[in-house]
Formats: sequence, C-alpha cells, structure tokens
Amino acid sequence: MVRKGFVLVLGLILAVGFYALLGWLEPTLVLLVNSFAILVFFTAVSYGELDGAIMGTCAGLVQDALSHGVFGLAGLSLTVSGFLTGWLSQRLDVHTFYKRFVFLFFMSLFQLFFWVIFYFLIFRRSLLYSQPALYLQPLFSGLLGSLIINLSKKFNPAV
Amino acid sequence: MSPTRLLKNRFLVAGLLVFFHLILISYQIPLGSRQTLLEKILFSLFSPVQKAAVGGYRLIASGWNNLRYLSQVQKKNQELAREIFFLRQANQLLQEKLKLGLSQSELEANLKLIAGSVVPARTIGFDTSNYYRSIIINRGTADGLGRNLPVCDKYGHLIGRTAEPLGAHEARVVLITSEESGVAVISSADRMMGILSGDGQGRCLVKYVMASSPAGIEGDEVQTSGFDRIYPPGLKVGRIIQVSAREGIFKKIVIQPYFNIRDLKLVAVLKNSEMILR
Repeated sequence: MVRKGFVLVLGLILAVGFYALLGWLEPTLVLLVNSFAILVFFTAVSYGELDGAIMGTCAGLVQDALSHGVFGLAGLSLTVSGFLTGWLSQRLDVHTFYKRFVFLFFMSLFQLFFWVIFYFLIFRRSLLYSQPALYLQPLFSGLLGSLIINLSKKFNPAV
Repeated sequence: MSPTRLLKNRFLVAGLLVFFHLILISYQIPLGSRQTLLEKILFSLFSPVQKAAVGGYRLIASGWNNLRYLSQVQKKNQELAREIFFLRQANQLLQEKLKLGLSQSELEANLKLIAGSVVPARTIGFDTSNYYRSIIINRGTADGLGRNLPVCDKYGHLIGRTAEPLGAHEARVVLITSEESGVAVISSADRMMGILSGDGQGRCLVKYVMASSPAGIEGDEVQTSGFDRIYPPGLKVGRIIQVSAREGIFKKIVIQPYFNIRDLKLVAVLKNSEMILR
C-alpha cells in the first residue's frame, strides 16, 4: 500500500515535470498531450477503478491549480474517466497493445467530451473551435498511455 | 455498514469524489478569478516542481549547445560586443534628447527607477486548457512581485499581468489574449480609446467603441493608455487588423498582439508600475 502510494506520488511529480517539458519545447504540445490524463489512465488500468478515481481527483486538481480556470473542472472529468477506465478495463479484453490503445483513445475522448461539456455549462463558451490541437489529444493520450502501460508490464509483470 | 465495507464499495467512493468536485466547482464559480485555499496550496506545492523541471531541461540544453557551438562562441562574443557598443551610443543620444526636457537629477532618478523596476523572469508553464490564457513564471512574492503587475516580453511589448495564485518563487500571468483580461488602450493615429480583451485564440478585441464613431484605422498601433491604473501608459500592445461596424452598437475591432506565444521564454515584470504611472 505504501509502495503503491509512493509510486503514485512519484507519477504525479513526473506528470508535472513532463507537462513542464512540453510547455518549454512548444506550447501546442501541452494541448496535444495531457500528461495528467495519461497518468490517470495508467493508474486505472494498472491498479483498478478506485485508484483511478483517486488519482483522477489528485491529478485533476493539480492540473486545475496550474491553469487559469474553474478549480475542480479537470478534477471532475479525470475522476469520472479514471473510475470508468479502471472498471471497464477489468471487464474488457485490453491485454494487447492495439486493444489497449483503442480503449484508451475512447476513454480519453470521453474525458475530453465531459470536460468540454462542463466548460460550456459553466462559461457558456465552447472550447471546440478555439484550439484545434485539442482534437488530437485522445490520439496521443491513447498512444502514450498504451506505450507506458506496456513498458511498465515488462519491468513489473505484477502490475 | 462497517467503515471497511463502505470503503470497499467502490461506487460509493467514486460517487463521493464526484460530489466533492461538484461542491468545489459550485464554491469556485461565485468567487470568479479569486482562488480557494486548496488551489493556492496545490499551486505552491507543484509549481516548484515545474520550475525545477524547466531549470533541469535548460541546463541540459545549454550544456549540449555549448558543446556543439564551442567554435562559434568567440564569433558571437565579438558580435555582441559590437552590438553593446552601438546600444550604448544610442542610449547616450537618447539621454541627451531627454535632458532637453528634464533636469539632470530628474533624469537620473527616472532612469534608476525604471532600471530597478524591471524584474526578468522565465516562463515555466502554459495553461493546459488554452495556452493563450495564462502562463506561469519563475518569480514570486520573494522577488517583490504582487498582483496586477504588468508583464512584457523581451522586446517591451505588453503580454499580460500577474494574478493569483502567487507563490514565493512562482506566479501566474494572465495574458492579454485571455477572454478574462481587460486593458485600457488608445490608438496612436486617431486616439481611439477602448478596453482590450482577448478572444482566446491568439488575438484581441477592442470593446466599447461606438459603431457611429469614425475611430479605428486598420494598421494603426494600439498602446496602453494608463487609465486603468494597472498598466503604465505607452506600452505597445499590437496592431489593428480589422475594423467592422456590422454587429450591434459597438464596432468590432480586432488586434493582432505584438508578442509571440512561442517566444515567451524570457519576460519582464514591471514591479513599481505605480511609481511609473505618476
């Protein structure tokens, strides 16, 4: 339990570091790759739906604290998608790289959709037409998430 | 139901987390741009991680660049020395011109004030939802920063203002391209006044200019007017690229800001803007 907690805290710090690297290289990359969502999907698939939901809360609130908007919006979308990802991953066959990629692509799409809907409900403004790079986020999140899970299974088959 | 059994009920825990977020959002919305304590704590905890990460990447990149460009260092040094020489000459000429209007002591006091007011900073993060909305810089309250201080790019063009949360060594900057920004501006040619706000897509709009007014010329430069008592007057903001009077009682005036979102690695915070405004 303590080891799992340590791994998750380290994952959160790495996600913040990766997000900083993306912004430093090119601002558009911050929209293309959501490192916090990738962390949540990794946690959900590796450890289950409850850990996915809790990591969604933590990572989402950190993402909100580092951006200028309503505090709690990303947290809500990542909590729900983290829980669903963990729950569905135990009922579907997502053991190969390609199946996992497709699964995470749709979960990322759901998370983005959830976030855009709530953003529209609060601000009465749609994010769909402001940043075209957002449309590619599910693709990159699915690909990177699946790669990271594959790598972690190679080093730690128990996960 | 025992507490252990409750915790094992995953759906209950997930539902409680969702409920917590809904309460948080409901509490946050009436606050507007003010931050809750939890957000300030998380910002103070994780923005140093960003700063450390970007510092590490810069170190690696500069080490690699130094190895690659060792042979060109001397040439660059000579070019910079020449540039400094001409800049010093220009500075001297400008000082001579200023002396015509100000006394020696007033001039020296003004130059010292301006030199002491500029705090250089580096960008360590962009907004995850829309990078035209805000950035995070590596300066904070320990460097004398506070809320609502103007921030410029390395060329002196306005990019935004500092906003909460403010950490000891990190601060958020709301960009002028954000929909929540507001800058009192004036155009150079016809002295058109209005409030500049962002459209969230990299451009700005000047609001509250009557459609019946003849003001607003395409290609004209827009600067800060100083009437909002936040930004000193004369800071260059951008250029008018479109003027149309077809929508409503106000004109639609679109501004292309001077700053480049991809060239914000180094920015300048104007610390004592109140003194500059006087």
